[in-house]
Amino acid sequence: MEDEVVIASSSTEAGIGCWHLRSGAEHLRYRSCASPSHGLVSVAGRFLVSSQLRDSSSGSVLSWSWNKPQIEVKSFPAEAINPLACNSDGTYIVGGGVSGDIYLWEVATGRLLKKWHGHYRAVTCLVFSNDQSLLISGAEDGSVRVWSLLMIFDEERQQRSGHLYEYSFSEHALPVTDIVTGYGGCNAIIISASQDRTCKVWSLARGTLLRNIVFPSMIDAIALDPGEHVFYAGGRDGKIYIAELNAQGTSNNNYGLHIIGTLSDQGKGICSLAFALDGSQLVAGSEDGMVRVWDTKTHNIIRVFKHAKSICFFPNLLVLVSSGPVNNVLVIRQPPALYPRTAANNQGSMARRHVPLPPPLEKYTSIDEHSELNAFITPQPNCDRLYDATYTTVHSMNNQINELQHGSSGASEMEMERLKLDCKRSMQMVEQWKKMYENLHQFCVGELLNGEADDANLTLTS
Amino acid sequence: MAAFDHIQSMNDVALKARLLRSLIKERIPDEKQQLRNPLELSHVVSAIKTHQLISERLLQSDDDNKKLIEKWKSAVDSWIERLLLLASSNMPDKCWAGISLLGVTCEECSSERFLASYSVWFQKLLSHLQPPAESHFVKAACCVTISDLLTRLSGYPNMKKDGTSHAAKLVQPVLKLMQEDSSDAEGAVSLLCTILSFFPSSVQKNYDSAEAAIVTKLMSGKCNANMLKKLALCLSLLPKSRGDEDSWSLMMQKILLAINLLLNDSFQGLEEETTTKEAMRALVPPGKDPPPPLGGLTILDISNKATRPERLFMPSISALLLCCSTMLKTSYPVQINVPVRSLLMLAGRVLMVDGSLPHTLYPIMTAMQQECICAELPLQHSYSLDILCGVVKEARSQLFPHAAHIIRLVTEYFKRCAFPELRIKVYALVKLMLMSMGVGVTMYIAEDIVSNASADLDSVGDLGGESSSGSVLKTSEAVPQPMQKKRKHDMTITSSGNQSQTTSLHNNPAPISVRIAALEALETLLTVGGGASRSGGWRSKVDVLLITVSTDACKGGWAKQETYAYTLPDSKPSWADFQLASLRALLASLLSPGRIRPPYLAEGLELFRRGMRETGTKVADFCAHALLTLEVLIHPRTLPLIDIASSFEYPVNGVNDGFMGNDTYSGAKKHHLYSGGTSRNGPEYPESEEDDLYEKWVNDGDGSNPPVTEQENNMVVEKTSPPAEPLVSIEGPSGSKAPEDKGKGILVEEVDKVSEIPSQTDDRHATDMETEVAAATGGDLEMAAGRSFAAVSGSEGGKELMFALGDDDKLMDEIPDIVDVEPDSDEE
Repeated sequence: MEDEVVIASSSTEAGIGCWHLRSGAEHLRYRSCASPSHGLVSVAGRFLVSSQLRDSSSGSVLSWSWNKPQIEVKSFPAEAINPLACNSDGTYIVGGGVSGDIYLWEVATGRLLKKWHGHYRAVTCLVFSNDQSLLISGAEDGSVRVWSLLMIFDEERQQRSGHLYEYSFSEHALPVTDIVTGYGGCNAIIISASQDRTCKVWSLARGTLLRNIVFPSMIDAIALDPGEHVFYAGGRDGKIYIAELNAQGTSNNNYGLHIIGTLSDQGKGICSLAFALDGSQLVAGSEDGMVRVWDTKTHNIIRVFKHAKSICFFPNLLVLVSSGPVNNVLVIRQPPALYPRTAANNQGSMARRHVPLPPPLEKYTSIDEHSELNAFITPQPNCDRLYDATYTTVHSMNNQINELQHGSSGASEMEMERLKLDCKRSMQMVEQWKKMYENLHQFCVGELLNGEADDANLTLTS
Repeated sequence: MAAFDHIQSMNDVALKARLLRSLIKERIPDEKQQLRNPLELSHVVSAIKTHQLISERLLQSDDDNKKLIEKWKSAVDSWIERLLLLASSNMPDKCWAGISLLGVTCEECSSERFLASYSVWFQKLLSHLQPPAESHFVKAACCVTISDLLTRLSGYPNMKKDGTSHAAKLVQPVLKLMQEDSSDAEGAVSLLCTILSFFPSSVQKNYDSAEAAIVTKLMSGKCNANMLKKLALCLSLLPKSRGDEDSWSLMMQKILLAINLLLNDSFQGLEEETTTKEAMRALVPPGKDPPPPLGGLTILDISNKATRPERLFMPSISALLLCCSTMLKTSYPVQINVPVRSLLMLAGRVLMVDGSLPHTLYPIMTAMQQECICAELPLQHSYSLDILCGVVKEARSQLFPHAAHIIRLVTEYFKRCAFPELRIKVYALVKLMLMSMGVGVTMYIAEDIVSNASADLDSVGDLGGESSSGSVLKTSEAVPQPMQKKRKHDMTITSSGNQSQTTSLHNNPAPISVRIAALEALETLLTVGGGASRSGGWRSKVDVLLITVSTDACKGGWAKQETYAYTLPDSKPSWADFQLASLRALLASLLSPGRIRPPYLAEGLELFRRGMRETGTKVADFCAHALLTLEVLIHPRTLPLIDIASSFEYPVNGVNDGFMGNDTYSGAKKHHLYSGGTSRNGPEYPESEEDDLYEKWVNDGDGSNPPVTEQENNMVVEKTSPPAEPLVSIEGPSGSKAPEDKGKGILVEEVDKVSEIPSQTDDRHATDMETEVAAATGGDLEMAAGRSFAAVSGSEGGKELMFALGDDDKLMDEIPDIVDVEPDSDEE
């Protein structure tokens, strides 16, 4: 199983807490962050970005790299940004301003690619759809709008259609507090929660309201079960309501139609919810500064993280300052940089190489018609390299044997070469034999002559 | 050795040593022996590979037979000794045999042995390249063997340094070999590829000369296709040797500039002057210095008509385009910065030239020149499409700023593109775009895909009068007729009663491969965006098309797939592939959620059932999978969140697309497309929406959704009958207008389905489903009603029902569109 970390931030300056989900060990605490609700994102697991509540005049968005507690990059958008969202590739960051404008930045260069007027009042939440091609925004004016990224960038088509959004849902009467989208591209559902104490389920395919669920309390956070049979709604009364999605509604309980139960520990209001990757652990950030992990199968709390900041006033006295509400929790795969240094695994050592964070987000756009919009392609770790090494000798050898069999220029040339050498050798042989013959001949003649002479001598002497 | 020293079995280690020894003795030539028959060598290689004769790896942990291991070791020793001996022989054939077998050894031998002796082998091999050996065979074998040696070496991470220093020695001789005009160059290029991909930094010192050598060869016009591919790969791997971001960008910029310069000359008179200027300005912005020329060839060198014959221009352009697309495909160790816009401009520039001369201008090129250009254009288009594919694949989500550009390019090109190969590529490109950019894209290009795919798949339309009776699609699609059901009926009759169709399908001008590509594109379209709200217009068309195509494809029985597979290594797609593709697309059409139950579910199931019986074929495998998947559709495990009842804007039998399509998708009314559902109140009346917000909420609270229905009804009216006044469209559809038998047929069918659903059929559910049925039929009727401007009579019934149900809050909540419900009594 992959390691996961829980990341939480609050609206007071308690920093960003980061815990290992299974062991409960706390990693670094990233300093000086006071985020609005939905203002904390992890950019494709590469680094953390959070919008800030502090500056009211102009916005501020800060980023942290995983292995340093200090702020690494500060950006100052034109206005205060509340929600942030990032697509799964980590190529764009979208921010919603208090004026209702939506900003879209390119992560790699920090350039402000687009800015458009999305809502009449402040944007409160931003989500990308499952297939990353649509952006869904909710606002204080109660409207939920669906934007197609394609349309946002296509000015020609905008003029033809007259408006930018794909859908605009305005059934919520009070500010929208949270939005989640479900599985599937075009057939996904959207669930929006609002201060009007309702959650509404929308169909992305038809752009219609599918279901309206009224809760006993205001809902500030929702989380959708990965199997989409229920969703969890965290209320201000501290209860996490379980609302069913695809069963026939019955109201044989105290909560209302479609609500089939609660997770509750008498705590304070729930400000944020997130599912772990296994789909059964639900992480809830609460108003009292705690992050609780629920097991949704047994309805038990299995872990509690304290987000509250501990400040040491006196050498021997630890004062626990109650932190503000934990209004952002994220559960993500443990980034490689957070693996301990001692770990011999390759993952950790690879991430050690410090990759500088991308430049800050632009305040005003510097894009004109001539500016080149390049795509940045980050290298993919190719783990399969060892396995698909291809050896070619056998193949080429068989080809060459084939050529030899059927005769080709290369083969005949080699044959010729061979024959030439053969010939040369044979010639040498011939020469040699000739020489030998010559020698033998001479020898024999000599012998013969000598012999005769000897014979003559013999006869002469005898 | 004793004659009766038997081994245990074929797994025995003793066998390996013995087998190897006898191979050495009998099949491998030595000093004196001649290489008798080269075929013997391939026997040797296959024996070595099957029995792993030189792997020196033990299957079981048999430590006891140390002696055997020693024996094996010494056998391998003598094997290598023999090979080295052969490799140094001055007889070219023996030398070749030794080198080739050494290559096999590099692949097969144990790691210890390899690491211990590779440098000796390397030196031996290098001696044949520097100075180059006489025989081409020897040189080629040498290149391949060294390449395998380096490949093996790259598998050991701690040998990087050694490998690099060894590879560095190779670069000079390889570059020299490359410049030769013979077949040697091919081996050298492959070797260079290996060096660059495994030990790139060894080329660092010779970067410029390598670039020059590659580019010269590439532009020489003397390379075959395979060689060009390898050269392009080399060029694209070259920046890896410096290993930084800039060298990749620089290389890309150089290539782009070179192509555009060549295009300026070649396309003179074929494209407008402004295109030329724009392209150049985008590449070299005013005030910036152009990059150094590619491969050291100055612009004059590249486009100098005196030194380079003009007919070489076009092949050079093609080669460079190939480099461009290869550069996009190759992976790099660092982040790279892809100039998307320049690439798109280049691809667009090439794709928009079709060789036709502008009418107004006085032709400034000879017929010969034009012929020369047109001959090469298809290849260039194909490479340009590759570039587009590469961009889409690599840039993924970063493509959004450029998506509109690409879409315009693709839709424009779709109209012009006639060559089968190119159409296949366009379909593949469209598929990629759908996959990487998601639902957003579907609404932009769905119409184009559908119209093109139906043109390609329209089996008879292209044949004209050739077979008049077999026109399945003609009857169902040609003229929009008001009676939709009847047409469906027609279709089934023709498709079952006409046997000549199968033959006419085979004569179809659109090749099977194109049709497969079209089917794949449709499949992807349905997968990604089948249920999208705006799919109404094309969805029904696609559903009909796919059931028709797959019925036809599978009518003549199931093709045997493997018949010719072994005779043709790169055979064209067969009829069986077409059948498979059509079934795949059909499954997507059945599964992709639409407004209504899949209309052709029964036919589809029947096809899959039949296909599953052909066990052992791919079709059967797929059909089994399809049936498994469809099971969930037939027996849903949960109740749907989406009420099918609200789907009244979709034609029930889905054939009146002409009507729907014309109305909703005409350019003038484009905005209807984006205003589905509730957003009708968006652009025009932003204020009013705010005003009654509270009332809406209150209404929501007690269960019914008047605003929604009201808007939807408005929409229906607008869509169906533009001239009609909104007043006519009161809730209920007209029962009196019920077209005779068809509505009932549907009703019966639907009710049957209801009874199929096993569990959960309590009363309320049944009501729900019936409601759905009625509404679905009602939607159909309403269309007819809307046109004949009398739709009032149903309204009372609708209201009645609303009251009847209105006292039950729970129920109301589940049927938000209750007002559309037509009382059952009207139907029966």
